[in-house]
Amino acid sequence: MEERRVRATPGGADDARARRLLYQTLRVPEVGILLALVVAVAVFALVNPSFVAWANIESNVRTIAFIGIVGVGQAMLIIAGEFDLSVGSVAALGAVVAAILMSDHGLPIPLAVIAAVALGLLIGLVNGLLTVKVGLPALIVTLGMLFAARGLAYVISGGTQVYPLPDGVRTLSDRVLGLPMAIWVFVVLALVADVAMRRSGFGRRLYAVGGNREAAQLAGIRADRVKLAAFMLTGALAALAGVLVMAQLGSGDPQIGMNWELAVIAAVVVGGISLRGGVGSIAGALLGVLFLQVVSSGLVVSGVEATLQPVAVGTVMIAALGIDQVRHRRFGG
Amino acid sequence: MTPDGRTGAPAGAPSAGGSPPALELESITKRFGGVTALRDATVRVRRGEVHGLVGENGAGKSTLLKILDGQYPAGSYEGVVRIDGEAVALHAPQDARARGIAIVPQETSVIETLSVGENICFGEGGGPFADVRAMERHAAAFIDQLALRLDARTQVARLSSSQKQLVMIARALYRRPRVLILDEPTSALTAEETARLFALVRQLRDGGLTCIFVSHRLDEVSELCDRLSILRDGRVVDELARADFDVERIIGSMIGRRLTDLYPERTGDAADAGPAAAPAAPPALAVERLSIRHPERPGDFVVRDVSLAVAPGEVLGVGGLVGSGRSELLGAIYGRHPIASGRVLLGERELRISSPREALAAGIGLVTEDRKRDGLLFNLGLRENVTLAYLRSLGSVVLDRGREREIAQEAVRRFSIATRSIETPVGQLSGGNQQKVMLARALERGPRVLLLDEPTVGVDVGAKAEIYRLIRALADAGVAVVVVSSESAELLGLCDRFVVLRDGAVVDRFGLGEASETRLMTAAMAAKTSSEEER
Ligand SMILES: Nc1ncnc2c1ncn2[C@@H]1O[C@H](COP(=O)(O)OP(=O)(O)OP(=O)(O)O)[C@@H](O)[C@H]1O
Ligand SMILES: [Mg+2]
Repeated sequence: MEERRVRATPGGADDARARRLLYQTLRVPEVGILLALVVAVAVFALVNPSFVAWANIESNVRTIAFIGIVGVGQAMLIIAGEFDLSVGSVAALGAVVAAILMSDHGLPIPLAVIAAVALGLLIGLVNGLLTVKVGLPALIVTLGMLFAARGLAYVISGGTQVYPLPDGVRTLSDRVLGLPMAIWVFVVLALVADVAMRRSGFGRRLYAVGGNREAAQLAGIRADRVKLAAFMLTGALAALAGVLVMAQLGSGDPQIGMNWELAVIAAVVVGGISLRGGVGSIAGALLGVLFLQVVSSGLVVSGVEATLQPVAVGTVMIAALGIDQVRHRRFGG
Repeated sequence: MTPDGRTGAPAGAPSAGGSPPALELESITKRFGGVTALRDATVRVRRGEVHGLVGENGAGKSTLLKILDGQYPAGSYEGVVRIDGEAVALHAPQDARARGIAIVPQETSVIETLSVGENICFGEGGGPFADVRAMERHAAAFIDQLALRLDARTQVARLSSSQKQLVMIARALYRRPRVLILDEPTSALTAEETARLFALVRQLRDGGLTCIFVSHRLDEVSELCDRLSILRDGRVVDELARADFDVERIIGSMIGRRLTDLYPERTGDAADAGPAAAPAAPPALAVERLSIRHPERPGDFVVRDVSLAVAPGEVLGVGGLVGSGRSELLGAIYGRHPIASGRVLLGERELRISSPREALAAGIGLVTEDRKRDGLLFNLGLRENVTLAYLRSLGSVVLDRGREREIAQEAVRRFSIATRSIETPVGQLSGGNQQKVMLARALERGPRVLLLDEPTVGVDVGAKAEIYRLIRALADAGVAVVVVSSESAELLGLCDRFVVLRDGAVVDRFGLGEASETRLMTAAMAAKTSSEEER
């Protein structure tokens, strides 16, 4: 029946095909953010050619590696219909705990890292249990955790940076194959997560639960468990990001991850993750992270005052949400 | 009617009579990417008439109405819209509203967190500091005027789908429209509510209201409408005045062929059913003295002491009004609601489950009545929706995409789902095709017991016949089927035995031999009015 319709399209088949191609391209959700990214890079490169110098590119990518790692978890969680405001604090707590374990208690570095990540996992579990099982709003639960975890990081560290760290920590910030370790961790995680969201059963369940929890449950999906897993993953990745920052700084600073929570949410939303849940991709989310980084560092390179950066980020985010709305209305969703 | 359906402007178009038609949609062509939903469709609606719009699922009815409502803005389609003879450009629903057009859309669209009254009065004056109490008072008065059974202060989330539908109707009427558009308003209503709606529409029509009415129930269309436009494949293929209404002709135009039998033939025991109020064979599913607590009123029950049994190969019909506990009964068997007392037996074994997941594993399938609320995932495509309950078999970590595509394609073939591809987002399918996707999903795991809650909501006659045939074929293959339906004709045509619920309890049970529409309705409604007064 449908085929008949398509074939019967009157007049210019080429025209129809072109229209269809355009339509399909526009429907690929990542196209918008990719275009925006290309334009932004081009503009900043014109203003100041050093913007596309390798050193600058590398420094940008290294900066986004940390937030990007957190963004992977956050994107999955938002797709599953929840979100987590405590990621920055969890990163700090993870960093401080790892630093103390390895320097004061002499724990081998890998074990200290694992312990920090496990702590992140645990915090994610607590966030998840309170939200999913007890039924408190994620906003309240994770906002509370934002304060609690940050406070704990200060208490444990005595309010100061934990250092010196054992020498071995440097391997965590060393270059491997020409790039800093954090970038590799980020790239590998991003690839795995993107493929997982597109191809794996877990990814499908996240989309299903975020799209319509009740329907997913009726189809035999354990929605609560899926959400819990997403919370735990987010917590673990936040702690991991914190540890990597610690390695780069050479100290366990309780101020690590300040304001990450909003930066991450802003970035993934710019990248097409819908706060309604169920919509978006890891690739898009990370393009969003990259885009916000390009905008803020581009403004610096172009000589715009640093204080104006948040204004730019805010504007971009609102614009992205506006575009998302229009897209949603035009193409349904 | 010409075989290619290209009659252009339908014969007998109303040019007579001096005054221009109240509404004129002329030569409308609307495309969605590669899909053409409407092609050169012309519909004229006279002032003060109820104009029916019928056609198969995906024929383009809702699309036409959305154009008239400004949801698809002028410029996104070809053709002209005229109101009272004047060409208008409707860019947004507000434009339609300003011209006195109000729509009750096919999909439920209410604000769940607000009260009935707020939903009805929403956006009608009040300003930023709307006085909720005043709204609810206004709404209550208005509801009384319409004689609907609604309480203005109830939160909408607590309402059944039929009550939500009433809220949407009241909301549209509250704006005192000159043109009222009803897109399948009755698919969620009980017989009683439908009758009330019709009386209301007639009364308003006599007061000068123009109405467009969409339904797949041709008896309703024949009863209510003054004239009728028939759509097929995006074209208007026929237009009939009331005098010419003829169900066979209408169906013929709609599906482009003759439909021989709506209901499939019964085979086996059921065909020569005596007074069988009990199943013939040992049951595949038995429910014994089952009770379910009321979710909000402590001490009260939505299902009381219900017993029933279905044998393999049998189709059991569950009658009763909306709110009589039918959906909750199915939900409890499926592990969705906890059981207060009683038990469910699957074959010989007692079924002890606490989640739909376990029900699925035990070989039970369920299709819920409200596909928007708890049926489909509108963020995903047809493929993902069909295979949702089947993910585990597609791989424990990575899903087998080839296999998944095959399954989806097979579903599209088997259910004749009209779609551009298996990747189409389900939100872009027409209502009836969405229903088929739900059925396809429920059957994917090859259940032994199939529970269907209003399985043909919003499905056109042709597709209904297919679904009935499918259900019968499943029964013949040994599946035990339970069908809940508010359409008596559907129950009678499809089922082998019947149970009627009222206020959560079984009030009648009978076999095919004794079944009649009167018996179904009497059992469902008896004493209903008195208990209704109490509340
Ligand atoms: N937003 C959309 N994007 C793409 N295709 C669409 C969209 N909306 C509708 N269609 C297609 O247009 C055609 C007409 O759909 P429409 O909803 O008007 O059908 P309908 O006659 O109302 O059917 P039903 O009786 O099932 O409600 C269908 O083939 C449908 O798949
Ligand atoms: Mg429709």
